[in-house]
Amino acid sequence: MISKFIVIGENIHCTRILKRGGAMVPKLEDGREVIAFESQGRKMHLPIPDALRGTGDWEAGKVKHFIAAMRQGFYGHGAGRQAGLDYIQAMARKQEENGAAFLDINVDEFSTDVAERVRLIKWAAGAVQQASRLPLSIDTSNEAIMRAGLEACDPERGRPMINSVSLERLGLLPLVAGFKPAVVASAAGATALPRDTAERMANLKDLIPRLLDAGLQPSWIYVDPLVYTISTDPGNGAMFLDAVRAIRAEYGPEIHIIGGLSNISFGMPNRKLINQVFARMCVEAGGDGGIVDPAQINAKLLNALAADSEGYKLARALLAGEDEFGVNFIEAFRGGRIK
Amino acid sequence: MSSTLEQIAEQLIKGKANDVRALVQKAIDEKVKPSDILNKGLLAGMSIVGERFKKNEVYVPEVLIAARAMKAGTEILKPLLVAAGVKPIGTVVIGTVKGDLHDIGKNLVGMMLEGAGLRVVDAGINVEPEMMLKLARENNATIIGASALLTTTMTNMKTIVEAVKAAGLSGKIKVMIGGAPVTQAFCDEIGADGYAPDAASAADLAKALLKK
Repeated sequence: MISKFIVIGENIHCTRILKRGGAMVPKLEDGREVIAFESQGRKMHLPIPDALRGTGDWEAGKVKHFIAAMRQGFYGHGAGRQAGLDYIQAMARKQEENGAAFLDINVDEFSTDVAERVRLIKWAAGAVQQASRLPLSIDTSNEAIMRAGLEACDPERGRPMINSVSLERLGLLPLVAGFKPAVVASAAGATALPRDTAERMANLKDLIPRLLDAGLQPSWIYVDPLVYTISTDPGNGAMFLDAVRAIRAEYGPEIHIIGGLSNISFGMPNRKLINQVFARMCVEAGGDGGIVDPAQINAKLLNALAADSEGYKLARALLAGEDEFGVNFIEAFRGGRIK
Repeated sequence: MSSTLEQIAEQLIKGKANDVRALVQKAIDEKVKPSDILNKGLLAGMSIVGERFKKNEVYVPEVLIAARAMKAGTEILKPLLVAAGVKPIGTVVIGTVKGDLHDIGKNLVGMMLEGAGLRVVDAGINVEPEMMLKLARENNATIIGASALLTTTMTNMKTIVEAVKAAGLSGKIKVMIGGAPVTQAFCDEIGADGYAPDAASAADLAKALLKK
């Protein structure tokens, strides 16, 4: 029985894609495509800004819905502007209702203009905080955006989060010392990603003392051992779980161990099931949270997984490295045997 | 005769490395031209895998096992191709740009490029722009393929374009780019020669760039 799973809600993110032609991107009677959503019980439409039409993504059948919403909310007028704001706020409320502990915001892919994104993160942080009481997690690889995001966080609602600090991004340490935030501590090295538990531990043994020296308590630290996809190497699930166990053993009960858990299922069918089973295996190994979609992964859903179903067993075998190249899982999926 | 080639393609699509190896040997024994075994057997199969991957009909592990099967077939074919003077249609240097440590997308692109009959020199991750250019020159590559997953590192793609220009090699070495935050607009902005939204499209783009 999983009593607690800390969710850093990952949804408010400029990389997020919806498929054109799917139920979320319906075509109106006049032929215009919009993004459908629900806000406080009402069905609503977000108009897609012209700037996103005719792009490579668009032609490939994809639309980045948070870029659409932020563009409307930040630059739009009238009803479009309101719809953009409503969209972002509806997504924030939905994640809070599903038990998120933090709301992660990422505007990095909005544009290549840093000054624009600095203005945007302030606006987005404000918009989200109007709709939700949760603290924010600022997710960026840029220091100026990180600072602007943290400054825009309302201190009344608890420590905001930096996502993330690593040996590759030590430039963020002054912000850690200044804001005393919660911190996602990534196991990335200065010039390479770790390949095994030993390399992860070596990186963390260099990084974590720096975070403690900056004035953090262990319980403000959320270690991200880094999830690699199972589709490219069947050992990647077991390797992550091994690292979780080692980190728990090294740092004791107070520190948190999380991860961008949905990375595990990239390139696979039925990602939701794989993600859920992986989250449960992470908790068994000593993890206590994830940067995930709380509508897909939360304590209640993880407890409700049917451990005797074929899909669950196949996902577990896949994640334990016992199903090379996911042959059995994919075959069962194609055969309709995974619900 | 043609049926052996069709079987090679079929088994490659299924990712059956041993069968592909045996069938390539069979085709060799049947005196099929090595270039036909390559083009009408192995590459034809890989091209179907690429098409299906583009349409989300196959999954990443299936691309990997198909690529592995292709490799198994290519290994025994290689000496014959060399003896017959069959050359790859071109050479590409690929790498993830400086400051960026992600390699999944880059590796998939590499497999798709090989599956399209190109020779691939993989420069790895966190690659300095000068290193990309150096490797391209040493290997007589006409394309540099640069990957980035971060908005903070994608700007290093511009440095590659500029390095090629400064060396007076614009047009001779083409720069193609890709990765989650990269767009056609960004490609135009930095003056790169092409952008591909996914690994299978990257192979199509590389072939198109070779003809320019």
